[in-house]
Amino acid sequence: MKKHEARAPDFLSEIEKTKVLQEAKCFDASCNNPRDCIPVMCKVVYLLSKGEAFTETESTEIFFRACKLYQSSNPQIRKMLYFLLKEIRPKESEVFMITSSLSRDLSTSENSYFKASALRVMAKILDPTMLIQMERFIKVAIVDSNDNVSSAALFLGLKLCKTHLEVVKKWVTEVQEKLTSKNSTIHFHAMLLLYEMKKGDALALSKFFESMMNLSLKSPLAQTQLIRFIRFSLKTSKFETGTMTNIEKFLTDSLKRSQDMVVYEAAKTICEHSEYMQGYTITSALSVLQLFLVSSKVTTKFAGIKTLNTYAMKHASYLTDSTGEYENLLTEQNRSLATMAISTLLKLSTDSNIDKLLGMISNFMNEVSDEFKIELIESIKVLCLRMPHKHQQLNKFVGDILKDEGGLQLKKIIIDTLLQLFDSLPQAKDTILMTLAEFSEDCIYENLHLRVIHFLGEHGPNCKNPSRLIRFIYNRLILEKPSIRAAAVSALFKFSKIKELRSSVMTLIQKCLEDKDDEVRERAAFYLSRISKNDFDRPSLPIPISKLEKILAHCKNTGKGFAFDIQVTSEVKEEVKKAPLPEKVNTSLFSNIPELNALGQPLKSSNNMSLTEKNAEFVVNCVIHYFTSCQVLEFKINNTLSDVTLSGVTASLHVEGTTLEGLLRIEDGILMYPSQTIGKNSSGVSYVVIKKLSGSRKASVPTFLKYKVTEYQGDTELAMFDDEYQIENIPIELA
Amino acid sequence: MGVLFSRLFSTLFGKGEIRILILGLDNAGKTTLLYKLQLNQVIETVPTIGFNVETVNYNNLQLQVWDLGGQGTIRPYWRCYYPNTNAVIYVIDSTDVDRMDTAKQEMITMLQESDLKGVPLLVFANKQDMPGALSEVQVSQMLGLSLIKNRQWRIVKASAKLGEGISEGLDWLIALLRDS
Repeated sequence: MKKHEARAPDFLSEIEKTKVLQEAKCFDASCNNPRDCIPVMCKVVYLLSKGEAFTETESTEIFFRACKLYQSSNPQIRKMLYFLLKEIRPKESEVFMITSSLSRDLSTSENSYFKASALRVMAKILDPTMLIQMERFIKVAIVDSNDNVSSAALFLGLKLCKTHLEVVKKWVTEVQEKLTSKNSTIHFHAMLLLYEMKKGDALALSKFFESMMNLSLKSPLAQTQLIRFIRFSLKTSKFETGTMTNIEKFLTDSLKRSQDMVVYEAAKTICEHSEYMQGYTITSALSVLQLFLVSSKVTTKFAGIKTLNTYAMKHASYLTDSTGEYENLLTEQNRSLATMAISTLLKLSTDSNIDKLLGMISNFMNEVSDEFKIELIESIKVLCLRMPHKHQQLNKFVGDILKDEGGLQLKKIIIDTLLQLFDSLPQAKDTILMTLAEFSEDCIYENLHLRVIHFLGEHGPNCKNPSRLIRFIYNRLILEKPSIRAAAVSALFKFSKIKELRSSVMTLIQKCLEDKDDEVRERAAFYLSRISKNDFDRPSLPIPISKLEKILAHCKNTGKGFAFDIQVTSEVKEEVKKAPLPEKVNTSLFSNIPELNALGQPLKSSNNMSLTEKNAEFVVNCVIHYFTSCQVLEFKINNTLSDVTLSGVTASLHVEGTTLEGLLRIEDGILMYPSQTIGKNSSGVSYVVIKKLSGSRKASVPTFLKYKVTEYQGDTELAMFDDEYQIENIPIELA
Repeated sequence: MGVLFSRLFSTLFGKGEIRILILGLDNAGKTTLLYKLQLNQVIETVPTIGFNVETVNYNNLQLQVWDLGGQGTIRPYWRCYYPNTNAVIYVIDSTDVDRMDTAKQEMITMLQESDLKGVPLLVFANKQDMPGALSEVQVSQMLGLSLIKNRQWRIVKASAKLGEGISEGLDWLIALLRDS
């Protein structure tokens, strides 16, 4: 009967959660019948994959029912059960119910299918306590002679890397053993896993690369991935010259492989990191990419031209000779290919062929999708900067794209490009302003529109023919919605700086006093009064906007603990006034500790807090400097005794049971910079850096100073010992 | 229809498996008992997180024996396994006098479940091979077994390690299940 149902076309629509939950009771039967259970399990999986919402009780119920199926050793039921368990994703508090069963599958089962499946289930549901129990089984499974088991174990390792790297690192010998496996999947996974283990450490990584390159990987996937890893690593790490020579040789060899993907990755890596490569290596990489262009496969062609396009500027001198090859691509049916070719040609173009090229592009511009248009805009920008005298044609071209239909992303990039060109090409300013003004006539994206209008207001008054722009802005007042009208009023006001236009501008703004919208009317009134007072400059803030933004962002992130205070902001402003070059402030702020100076300028610094009595033996003051990522506690210690020197002064903060001390990396949360020796009757500074984590709160933390005391009688050293000294609690923000 | 028939068939000819739950506090010896039954040997056990299930052939009868973990965190989940249970074996560590009361409470909670209504209960006063083990009479008193009126029950002194008392208890249980 069931079989017939299964074939009926509307079978799926008949599957209902409540019904299936009832049917699942058959899992409880003391003797499971595969014919009963498997269809029900399928239905549950179907519901789960469809995204049907199971309440907590329902999913618990289904999970426990399903667990009972473990009693059956029927391979079909078991197969489906593993599948089901992966889909159910049991709650953390319940997952342990199958721990014992899974570990039995791993440890005692002879069936390698069960073993492999158990490992794959674990990859989905493993929790930390389970991991401790399973660790040794996983380790054994990695070197299992059955490829399925070994592969599943390696895959589990890869999953765990994200959460339990330390545990995974212990399996390094087992994983290394699998590198020599004949099975290419295992080989590939073993390599991925080893990379994950080593990637944190540059030295280990370079050794890893060396050994992998010597291994001559047979699987093309593995080799491709290895080249990718090399490319990623070169971005951040520096390798020794010997290693670099080997890498270069390895990449050159890879260029000769028969698989396109290996060759492609190698060529791309060489192009991206050409600064490490010899001239002939780069040449051969580029010629390989050019060979791609005549391949019969479209994907290969595309890969070739895209990469050439990316690095065209970098290696222009070599590529200009062979522009003919790219021109051939222009006739391609595939427009994406043609666009990439055009983009490359534009980057490589010269005075003589630019007009011809632009003509060609216009022909198929409307067939090209937004993302390729963006690519073209990028090329045009580069070109504009390279050939300023051609800016008229290029601007017209960009303006045409701007007029055409297009998504926000495209328009935004065009506007960005125009604004950048505006800054760097003085001779193009008027043209660009006109393009923007025309664009404002029919812009459908509000934010972009506001930006354009603001820009016109800022820069319009300085152009040759400001009255033309006013016409465009005035049109906005008549045609657009309130937010745009308000922006237009502000922009118009800017033009009143020009004496000849002032009275006309005033007339225009006066009309806005009758606008329906409050904001527009208020702005109009405000600006009119400013014009009548001859007040045309922007009202100055007590603090630079960028700084204000930073402080506000900080307030927002820290929540209540850090109330916005204009006093503080003006203090910061004072600081800037005193020292016009902010870097200088830092240099003096954190004397000779480069790591601290690298943090830049603090968002805020607290007041000087006195942590001891005024007449104590050691007078300690503390200033807390707040940065976005951390806080630096600056302790100023004044030694008032004439027979004692202090050295290596650090502060140790006792935070709820744990003591923050010791010299660790910033990432670990705390960093200490002990003071230099503080002489008799003199003072010194010690720094403590505390990493700030999200969701921080304020706490008053008991603090001790720790230091080495050296006692003197006259100039002779009497004794030296470690000591500590409790000072007042410090209010800091903690996670 | 076919399914129904096969079920009927199996009940008639006694081929359906008898489902037995082994419960008890942690470290009572449940897993040792299970594998003593199945393999007739004492295996090295680790605390059971979750459950073990084995089919045991006992006097030509197929017993499906579930051994559930006894740790405090797992006990709340016992009830998920009560439906379709034919008998409960409750294992007591006879040397663990301190936790006898906990064992009693857990047992009472278990017996109140409607899924286990009328299900016979066999208590093993386990670890009799250990010095200081209480006798089955003492254990019975401490658990208040005599108060159980609504089901068949029996307590047997046993040592899962040595295999003593197990068959005595099971024979009683099987005979009972056959009759019903």
